[in-house]
Amino acid sequence: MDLDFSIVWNYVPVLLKAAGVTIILTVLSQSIGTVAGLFLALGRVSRFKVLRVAVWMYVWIFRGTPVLLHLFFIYYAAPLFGVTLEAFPAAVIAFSLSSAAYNCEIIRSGLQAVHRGQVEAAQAIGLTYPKIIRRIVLPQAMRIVIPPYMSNFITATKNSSLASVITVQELMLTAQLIYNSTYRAIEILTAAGVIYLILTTCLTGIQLYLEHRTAWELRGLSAGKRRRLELNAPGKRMGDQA
Amino acid sequence: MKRSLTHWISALALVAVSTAAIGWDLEDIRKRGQLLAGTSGNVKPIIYMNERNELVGYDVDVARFVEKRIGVPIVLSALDWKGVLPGLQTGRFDAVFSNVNINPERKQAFEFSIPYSRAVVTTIVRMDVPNVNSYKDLKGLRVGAVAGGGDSGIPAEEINAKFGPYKSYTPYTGFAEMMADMKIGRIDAAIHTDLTAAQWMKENPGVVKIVGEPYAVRYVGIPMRKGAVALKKEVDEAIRDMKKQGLLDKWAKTHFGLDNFSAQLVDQVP
Repeated sequence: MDLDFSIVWNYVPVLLKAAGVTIILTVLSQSIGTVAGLFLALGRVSRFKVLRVAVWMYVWIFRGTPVLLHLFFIYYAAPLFGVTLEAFPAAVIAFSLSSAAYNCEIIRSGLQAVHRGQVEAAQAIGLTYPKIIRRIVLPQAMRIVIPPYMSNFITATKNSSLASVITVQELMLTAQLIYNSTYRAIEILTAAGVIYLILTTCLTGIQLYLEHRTAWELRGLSAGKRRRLELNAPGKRMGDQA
Repeated sequence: MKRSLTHWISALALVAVSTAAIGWDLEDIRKRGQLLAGTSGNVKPIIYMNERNELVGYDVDVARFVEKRIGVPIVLSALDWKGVLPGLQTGRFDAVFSNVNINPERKQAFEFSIPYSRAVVTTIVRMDVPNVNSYKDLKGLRVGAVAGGGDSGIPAEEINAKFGPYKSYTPYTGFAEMMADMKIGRIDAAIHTDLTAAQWMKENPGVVKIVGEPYAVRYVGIPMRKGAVALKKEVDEAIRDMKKQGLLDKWAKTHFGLDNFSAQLVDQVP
């Protein structure tokens, strides 16, 4: 089969504009989904049963049904009940809802990984609940949460293509429209693939940065020493170095 | 899971038809100041995207004329075909410009304009496949069509039942995807409208040919929200004007390379 990648250059501006839509859509819905997910996670581990059950139900529904369905409901069914949203906000809401459900579970796993004794100790010295969460639990939970959280972020970037069913002209729909007029599917999809890869590579970079930032016990050590510690003595803490 | 999703969507559409779509008509559209229209935007040369990210083609020329006639701008949005007709049913769009074939099921769900185009259901065969001279000869071959298309998937399944069985039947999401597969050699033949086939053959010479007589001719209309009778009346008049002024013939010549196009159309919803 003959391939002609020169065709791609004609469509670079169009593809980049569409990539912009993908980026804004993903970043916006992930930001909302992260904040909402954090509060849901706190509700999920709360002392109050009502709250725990409510959050469990939320996660059960929004993690258990396809995002495509959420998009359809919010864009096509909500107007029947008097809520008519533009396509883009509708997509942001749909993706935020499901992102919140996933992030709730991811953050919960981090919260629960922090030893109960630490919370008790913090209570013993008289810290308030918000302070315990902010100063004691979250910083430790964060490092556990980063890898699955960023994986979810990357998945969300690619899933944003589902918004094509509600007229959001993101990267994947644009690529499809282009190859339907040029019949150059392989070339255009390769270009779209490269753009997606650039986006997700940025996210991987952010993940790496965050992982280093939260490696508290390795702070202040030289790069070589950090590496040796990370490789040879996983689980060792500062002060243990022999 | 796919099936249950479809199930939900059709349930949704039913609710929509029974509640929201009723009573919405030209007056409301004029009040809003925009006619919202959906399209799959992936059927070259009928409606497709150019290098400047604009929708162009025969259907777009028709839409621009209708726009002048009703005095409200038409806003065309491209989206995945899966969402086009549900969007019309639930009232997200007022009309659809997407080479939609008129058939009895769709007529129950939408108001259709009189035909402004037609789709000849053609048999497309790869050059190196021997002994196929008609849709009747597709038995034992690997056949593809665009899923759910009135001029593609639906007739392809009819042909399979009447003259098959095919060796295999593959439903595709779009024409370009299907033809890419044809080029690779995964399917031997395809059922689709003559207009898209001719365009593809022009840009990819020597790969496929069109064989035999057409399986059927389907009329193409503009589906509008159920109950939008005033809008339908205006659109019908617009189509008659375009015929009278020779515009449909002119655009068919530029986009399809065909002469006397409007002579192939009828003056009522079939």
